[in-house]
Amino acid sequence: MSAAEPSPTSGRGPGARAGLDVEVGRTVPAWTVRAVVALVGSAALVLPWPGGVLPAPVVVLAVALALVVGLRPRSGAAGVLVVAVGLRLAVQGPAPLWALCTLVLLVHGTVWLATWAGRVPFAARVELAVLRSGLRRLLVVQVPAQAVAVLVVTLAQPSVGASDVARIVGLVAAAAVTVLVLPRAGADEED
Amino acid sequence: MTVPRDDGRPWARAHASVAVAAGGAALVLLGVAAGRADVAVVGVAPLVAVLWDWSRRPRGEVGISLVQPVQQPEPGEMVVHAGINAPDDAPAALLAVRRGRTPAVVTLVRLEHGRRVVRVRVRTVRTGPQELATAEALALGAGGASLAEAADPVEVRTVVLPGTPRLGEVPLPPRLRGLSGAHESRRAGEGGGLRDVHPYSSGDRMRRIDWRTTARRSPQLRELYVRREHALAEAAVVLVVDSRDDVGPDPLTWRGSNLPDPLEATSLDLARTAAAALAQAYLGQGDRVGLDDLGVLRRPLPPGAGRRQLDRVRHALAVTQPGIDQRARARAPQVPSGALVVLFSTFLDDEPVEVAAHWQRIGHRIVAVDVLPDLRTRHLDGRERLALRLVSLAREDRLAALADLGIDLVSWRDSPVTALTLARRRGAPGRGRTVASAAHR
Repeated sequence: MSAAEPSPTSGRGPGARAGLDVEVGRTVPAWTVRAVVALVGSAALVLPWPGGVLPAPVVVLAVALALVVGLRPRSGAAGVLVVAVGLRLAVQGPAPLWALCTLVLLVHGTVWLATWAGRVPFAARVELAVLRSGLRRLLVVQVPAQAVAVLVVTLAQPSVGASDVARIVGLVAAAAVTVLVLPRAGADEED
Repeated sequence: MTVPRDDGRPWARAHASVAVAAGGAALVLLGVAAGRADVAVVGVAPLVAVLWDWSRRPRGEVGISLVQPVQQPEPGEMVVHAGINAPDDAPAALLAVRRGRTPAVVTLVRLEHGRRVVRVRVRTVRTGPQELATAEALALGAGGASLAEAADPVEVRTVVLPGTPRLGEVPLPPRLRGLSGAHESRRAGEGGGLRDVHPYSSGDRMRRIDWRTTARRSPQLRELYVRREHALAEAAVVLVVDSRDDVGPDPLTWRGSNLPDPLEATSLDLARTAAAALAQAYLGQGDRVGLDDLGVLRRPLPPGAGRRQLDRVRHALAVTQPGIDQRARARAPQVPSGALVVLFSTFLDDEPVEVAAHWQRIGHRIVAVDVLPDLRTRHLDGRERLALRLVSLAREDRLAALADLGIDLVSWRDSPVTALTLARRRGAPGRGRTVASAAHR
């Protein structure tokens, strides 16, 4: 079957019971998207690098968090996963370039997939064209992010932290941006 | 169809995207505070992506339509077009299609400039008025970071005409009517096979004289002999559907609290199909067919002939539903004199038996068609099996009573063609010639 050829999405699921075939492009079950979220999230949390290997109990906790993100993508656990990856990076010291680039990619991929998966019921199907079109936007963000990561590791790392003034200015700027762009509590959010 | 309108407000942000943005912002703050640019850069990509998605939140509502192009379909597969109409910058939508109380088929579909038409194939074995599909849509903004209010669900309904499977030979009434038709009556006339050779009498046509017989029997030509033929005649058939019951193969649905499975034919579906098939068989051989309903007090469809009568019968069958008229019948439906009555019922109560006995007593030939579907009983527990057993015993008694009355019984679930052929060959009591073949046309 070609990619453009419509395929029924009932299979042996609820559509077969109701005698319904919804003809759309190629699809994947929503649970596979959630499984991918859990896998990619686990990889982001436990990615080892020299001097950055997690102890076994922490690995279990990390995988559990990734599973929560996969099982309940609507719950906001993806935000916790982002923070957890950053905390680990902060605690276990600077990561090598390849590890940092991989982390940037994995974290972004996890939250991107989790955002889609959060809207789709477990038994639903996802048309691959939706993910393909979103993938372009992901790359548009990811390429500059990777460039920034390379820049940070290769150039700025030794000098970052040298100036307290620069740190305070950056903190105020980041806080101001955060306050300005993040939504007010309850405003324009889904019920 | 619901039409989208722009109320000016952007769509709501998704919870997950808010959490991701908060997490990304926290990492950026942490990185800056700790002087760790590598920590900050991990949070940058999710934060920027979500902010970008939020900056392009669509505005306006989402509409959905369901269209079923064929007006009067037959059982089988139908196509319904589900159209989603959203703002141009909405990249995807959740489409949920369901039927009855079955779980919905939910698919995340891509939108092209906010529009998408999805073909939905609906399989049905049911006939009559029914819901084909109900659809709902929830459009999502870029990256799934925002979402519209769900469009109001829309439903498409249609009336499915009963199919007309081909039948072989069908039973005929004891008395044929009229001077035209496809069946030989016992009266002398024209059009049929040889009846006898008879001395010429006033009114006989000259071309009917059989000269060979005349020469043999009356060499002096004192008397002429003519060949007489059987007259042709037509049958009058009244189809009576017992629409009070519409039970499916699952006895647990008989209470009415659970709906039958949409992919299983109910007794009324079988009755509609059986009546339509018999109507086609009789009308195809030039007979007159009428229709009445045992469960509803309304004007019956009088016997008629021809292709349009078949259309009328099928439409009347299609709109036959249980429970339309709760008033009880005081008398059995009146049927034309000498007509064959074909009664379609589940025989789950006594009324059809009493009505059939009444018709039998006044001289009609009756064919009772049992339209109870094959039952599924494996999932029943002990008490339910016992209850079903009691109902089945009472039903078997009724069917035995019909057989005792000399009424032909045809089960529509077990090879009805064979049973109808046997009924044809049995004929009416004492009338061996009242059979005919429903030619395959």
